[in-house]
This record gives sequence, structure tokens and C-alpha cells, in this order.
Amino acid sequence: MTTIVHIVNQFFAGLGGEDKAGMPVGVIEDVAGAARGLQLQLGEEAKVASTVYYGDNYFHEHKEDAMKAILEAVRSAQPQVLVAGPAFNSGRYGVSCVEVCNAVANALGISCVTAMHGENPGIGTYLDFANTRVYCLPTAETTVGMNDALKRLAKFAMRLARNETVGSAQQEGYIPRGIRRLEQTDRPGAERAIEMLLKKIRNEPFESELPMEVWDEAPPAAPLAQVKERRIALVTTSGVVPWGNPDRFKTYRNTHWRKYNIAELKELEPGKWETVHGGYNVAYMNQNPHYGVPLDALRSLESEGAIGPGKLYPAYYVIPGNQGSPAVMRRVGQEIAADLKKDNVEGVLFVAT
Amino acid sequence: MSKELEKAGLPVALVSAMFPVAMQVRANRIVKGVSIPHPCGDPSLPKDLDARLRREIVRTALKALEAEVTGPTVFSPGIP
Amino acid sequence: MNNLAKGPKKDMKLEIAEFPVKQIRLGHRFTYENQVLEVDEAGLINLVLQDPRIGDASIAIAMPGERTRITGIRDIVEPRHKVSGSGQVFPGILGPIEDVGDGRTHRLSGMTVIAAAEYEGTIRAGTTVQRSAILDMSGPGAKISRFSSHTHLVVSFRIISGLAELEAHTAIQLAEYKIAHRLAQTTVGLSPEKIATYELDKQEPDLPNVMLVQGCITDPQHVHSGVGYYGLSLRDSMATFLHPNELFDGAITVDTTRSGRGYYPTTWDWQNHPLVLGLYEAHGRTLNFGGVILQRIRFETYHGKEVGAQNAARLAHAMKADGVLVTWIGGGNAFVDVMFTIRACERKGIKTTLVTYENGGKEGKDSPVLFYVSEADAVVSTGSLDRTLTLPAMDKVIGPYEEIKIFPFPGATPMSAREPLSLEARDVMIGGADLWGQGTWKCVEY
Repeated sequence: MTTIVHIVNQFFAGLGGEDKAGMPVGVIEDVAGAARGLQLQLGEEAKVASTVYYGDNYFHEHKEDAMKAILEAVRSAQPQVLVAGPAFNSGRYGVSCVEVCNAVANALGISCVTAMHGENPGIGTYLDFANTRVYCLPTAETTVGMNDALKRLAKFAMRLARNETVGSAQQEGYIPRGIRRLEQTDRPGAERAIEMLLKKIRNEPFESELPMEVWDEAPPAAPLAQVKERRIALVTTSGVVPWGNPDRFKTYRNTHWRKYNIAELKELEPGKWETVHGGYNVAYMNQNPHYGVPLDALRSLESEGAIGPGKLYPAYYVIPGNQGSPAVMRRVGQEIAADLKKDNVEGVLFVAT
Repeated sequence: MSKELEKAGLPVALVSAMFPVAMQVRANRIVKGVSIPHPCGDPSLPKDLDARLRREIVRTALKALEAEVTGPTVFSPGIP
Repeated sequence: MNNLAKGPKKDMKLEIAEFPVKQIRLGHRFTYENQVLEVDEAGLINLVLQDPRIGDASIAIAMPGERTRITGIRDIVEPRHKVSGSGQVFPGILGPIEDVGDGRTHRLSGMTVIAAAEYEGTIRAGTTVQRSAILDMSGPGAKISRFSSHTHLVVSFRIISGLAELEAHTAIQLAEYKIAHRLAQTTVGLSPEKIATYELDKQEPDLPNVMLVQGCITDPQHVHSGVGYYGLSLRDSMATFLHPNELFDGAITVDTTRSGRGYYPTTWDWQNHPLVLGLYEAHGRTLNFGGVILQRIRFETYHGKEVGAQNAARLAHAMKADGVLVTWIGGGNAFVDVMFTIRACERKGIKTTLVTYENGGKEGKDSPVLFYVSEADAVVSTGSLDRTLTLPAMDKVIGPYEEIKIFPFPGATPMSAREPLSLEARDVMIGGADLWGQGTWKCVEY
């Protein structure tokens, strides 16, 4: 008999509305609220061993405690699969469903399925995690779609419990996590392309193999008041390094960064530096490294007073940026940020090629 | 990468010739670089004008760090 | 009085006569019989050594399925020879600067000539540093390359020391083209297995007019920009029209100091362009093939990219294209030019479909491409380059290098070519990057 744990918020556990959103994590042995509907859909095939609930606000305001309690409750029920939601267009609930699924999948190694509307903010979190064990099914915007959502959740949960191979997002109807796998198909790309173009010309429906992406907003960091009194550092992806490439940077796909001393230098002498980068013509940069590391201009502005004395950080940071994977660049960015903050740097001049 | 620096609270003035790409990835303070292989200057100019252009680009970057912005904003270095 | 001589304007018609090769024998004469090609080994070596820039040379044969690794690969070319029509293959290099793409051309199919050369180069880094590729004839490396199923005549030679990139390239290219040409000439007077006819002039009025926009990254400041047009480097020019038959006769060629690695095609790829062949196949049935637009990309300013993109779209519009297949050779910010081109075409009402490889990191969790425009809603993915590859040890190494530098960066350490190798991306193997949809690879979203 397959065991399932159902994660819901206080409202869908039947315990109250917005006024009860501060409720801590609780466990109901057996089914309650929406879990009853899920059990109905599962029929004899599986048993919802417990319903774990929490107040939407409580979850986000006491995340560490909430997660601990939820993981403990799930662990003790020993389910084969976890179901969370459906959250429809409820943002706090949607995000919490995804976060719980991600934590359970990582900590306990079980597959999880949740469901929500395509515009729920939880989808952004779902894409960020890109967890191969966590699936999200699309639903209607409101609880009008409850029956349908529970039916599909039940079916999908059973497939996961049976360890069935899950196909692509398009085949199976779940929301893609942005994990792109390399596969062979039965037709060459050239043939698929001509067919796709003809469909498009004839105004017939077609399916693009590469969806367009929208990057999320990053709220701007606060501006610096009186920049000449601030500590400023230079970071660059141009690939300018000391001659001989002492830290063995490659011309592409680098994974490490370095900082090089410029404290006593007024400028970068050509011949003492070289450019390691495979993505652009480095002849100009080699002739004049200032195109990527504008030290001459920085020193000049320093002598004018536009940059305070001693305020220019005594080293510049570099990683040749060609074909760097975004995940690596994110980590590098975090590491450099930590290093800069350790030394009280307040603003960054970033030169990209 | 510059977004991670910003997330940590450090304002970043990004000098790049490819400002449409910078805008699309939502970098917030973007300074127009001259060209991809030489963002901070122009080798076709005589040396002193090239140096002056570079100072102007860096000066604009400093101004960008002082500026209040609400989203991706492009700062164009003035003709020095 | 009207004195103009008005004859019908005849369109280009090319017959490609195919002579398949199953086996190559190194011997003392040139013969082709029962799909076996025998070559005069000493004669070919002498042909190569005529060039004083080449120090020594040897020839070896590599067959599919052998536990052989070929190193130092600079370029791959299919042997072809024009028996009629104006000009000769590789105009401006081997042949005179004359029109090609008409008449009859012989081809030896199922085989290639591989130029493998020892050459160190004078440039240390950047987009113009010399590089060479490897090819495994069996195992996981063979599985991902479109070249592992051919029989190869590998010419290995050493470029004399002290030569700069342009001289080295010219020496390598002339050697491989002269050999390929001599091999193809063996078929003169013989009956081909089959003849394929390529002409564009039967236009069906009800079918949509479709062109191919081929974006090409070029390095205008480098001695060879990466793309040769009748032997002239395409630098930062505006788009131009190409009749597809010109490609079959070698009008477009490569920089052999960089060909075949990463996103660069080989000469063979230009001769056997899958999108051109596909459009010809569909010509007169589901579409009218309107020809090829050769477009230079990776302008280095935003202004350049936008002007280049709109120029290509204007040319497609002037040629009455209803739709275009868009593809590219390049990486990095050259993709922005491609996206701007798609946008410019769509804004003119020309429907586009893009054929491109992806990156996206080893787990496929990162952005597959660098940049997007909302108009690029029809894309065919030829798969990701970012997959590691573990190659087993091989019994035989053909080529100038017993030790190879997988990454040609300053200070890199060489590894033994015979040993197992760990490649961090598919494009280190020649043919490992499916540039134009020749293979059946694709990325699927999970």
C-alpha cells in the first residue's frame, strides 16, 4: 500500500481563513480538508497517512522552525511520495509548497508533486530550484479547478510512487523546470526546421524547441552618497592578467577568479600584462590593458579628487568571462562579493567585454 | 555575476558595449562601453583623446554609482 | 531600334555525379573501381612536399569502427572535381576566380581528406589563436561526431617553424585541397553511381519563397577572418546573395588554423550544408528555395549589430522571401546579431525559424542561449555542447601529435593522445557540435 503525505495550508486543512494564517505547523493523522479530496481520487491505491498544515504567514515568518517541524512530520510518516497544494493563485502558499517539496526531496530523497496556476510566484522559485525530484502541475486560477487538480495530482503521485520514468514536460503536462536534457530524436534538425517554418508561414500551430526566457528583477542596490568618500573596487571579465598567466586561466569556461595587486601602480604597462579570453579579438586589450582595467583613468580621477585618497581598492578582480556557465558566474559573484565586503568595499566598477 | 554583487548590497556600475544584453539580464546601472574588445576607450583616437574618453567613461560610472535608479538604466558617457 | 540580344537568361544548373568510396588503398597508382579507391601514396606525398613551407608528410587511412584517434586535425574536405561548367572547385584558391555552381561536378562520397598538421602559432590567446581537433573512430567520441562514419585519408605533416598564421593556413589548405582534387580526378571518364541535379529555376507560384540566412562570425582584423568567399576573407561587410550551388563547388572556405573546433565548421560542412540540401529537397514540393544570404555577424558595437541585422532583412525582403531559416556560426555576443536579424525579418513580415546549438551548462539548468527577442518564437535546437565526454584509450594514433593540448591557453599542459581523455565539452571533438541540424540531437525540457 503506497503511503502519501499531503501538505496544505491552514485554509485548505479546513482550519480557518486569513485570520488563522499565523498558525504553527500541525499534523492531522489521516485526512482533513483538501486531503480528503485527494484520498477520494487515490481510491484504494494509496493511503494519505497524514495531513501536515501550517499558516501561510507562520511558514514565511518562522521558516527555519516550520521546515524543521514539517520535515520531522514527513520523515515519521515514511511516505513514498509527497503531495503539496494545489495552491492556485495564492502566492505565499505556492512558494511554500515549492520550498517544502524541495527540502523534502533533498533531505529524504523522495519525489514530490505540487500544483498551482502558471502565474503563481511559486513558479519562479520552482524554476530556481530546478530540482529533478520536484514536479509542479498547472491548475486553474481559482478553486473552481480543485477537483481536476486533485485528480491529476493523485495520478501523477502514483506514477512517482511506482518509480515510473517521467517523460518531458511537454509529453507529461507538468510545468517544465528548465532542465534541458540532450537527446536524440528520429529526425534531423534540418528537417524539423523546414517543417516548423512551413507551419509558421501557413499560420498552423507549431511547438518551438527553445522557449524564450525572461530574467527576474533584481532590485537595485542603494546608491552611494558622495562617491569620492567611498571605497571602490574594479572587477572585470576582460581577462587581463599578469604576463605569463600565472594562475592558469583558460580562454573559456573558467571556474576560478583572482585578484591582482595594483596598489603601487599608476598604470598598466603593456608587455607586463596579457589578455586570456577566447571570445573577442584581444589585440587591442594586449596593446592597452586599460581598455579592460582603466587604471590610468582611475589614478587620474584620484589625483583630481573624484576618487578619495586611498579609496581605490588596492587590487582588481578578474575572471575571463568567455562561455562561463551562469551557475559558475553566480558562485564567483557571491565569492567576490564576500571578499569585497570583508574589506569594506562599498561600490564596484565592473568592466565587461 | 554583477547581479550577485548587487544582491550583496554593493552598487555596480557595469561598463559594457552590449547594453541591450545588460538590460535584458536586468543589470541596473549600465554605462555604455565603446566596443566589445575595448569597452574603456577607442584605439582609433590619438592617445590623449583616448585617455580623455576613458576618464569620461570612468567618471560616468562613478556618477552612476551615486544615482538613484528604479530598474535597468543606461548612462551614456558625454563627449569629453 | 532595339539591338539588345535577348536570349532567355539561363539559371545555374549543377549535376553532382556521385562515386561512393567504401575503402581506400595506399598503393602506386590512382584507380577507382567497385567503390575502392587506390591512391599513389608516394605521388601524394610529393604533391604535398612541393610546398617548401611543409617539412615532412605522411599518409594514413582511418576507417569507421577502428580504435584509432586522429590528432592535430585542421580541416576536413570532400574530394570533388568539376568536369564541366565554368571554373573549378575552390575558386580563388585552387581554381581561378570564376563563377562556379554550373555544369557537372564529380564527388567521392563516404570518404574525406583530413589535413592534420603540426603547427604552434604566434598568437597566444583570443579568438584567433590556432587550434586543432581530434577525432575518435570508435567509442563515445565517434558516437557524437558526424565524421566518424566516413573513411578518411589523413595527410599528416609538419609546418616549418617560424611561419605566421596566414602562411601556415595557406600551406595547410593548399595541401588538403590539392590532394582532395587529385583523388576526385581519378573518376574522370567513369560512370557515377548516381547523379543529383540542383537548379532553382522551376518556381511554383503557389508555394512560399524560403531562403537561408547564414550568419558567419568573422575576425576582421585577423589575417584570415575565418570565412573565405572565392578565397577573399569576408571581414565586416554587409550581407550578400549566394546561389546554393556555389557552396557545393567550394566558393566558401575556412581558416584552417581554427576550423572544426568549437562552433567553426569544416570545409566539408560548407560543401554538404544540411539546410541547403534540405531546402533543395523541398524545392518545388512544399516551398520555393530562394537561395542563400551570407551575413557577417558579431559586429562589435550595438550600432553595427542593428545595422547588419536590418541589412540582411532588407535583402531577404528585396528577394521576396516569405520565410527564412536562420542559422549561424559563432558563439557569445554574435548571437545578439542573430536575434536582431530575426527581429528585423519578423518586423518586415518575413517568418523566421532559427536553427541553433545550446549551452546551458552540464546539467542543462542554465540559460541555453545568451540573449532573446520575443520574435524568436520558432527555434529548432541541435542540442547542447556542454556535456562532458570521457574517451577511452585508443590503440592507434594518427596525426602529428602524440601529446595534445586540449585547451590551447598560455601555459597549458599536454596529455598523451593514446590514453583515456576527459573532455569537458562536446565541441572539442571535431563534428561534436551539430551546427546546422545535420544530426538528430536536440534538447528536451524536463
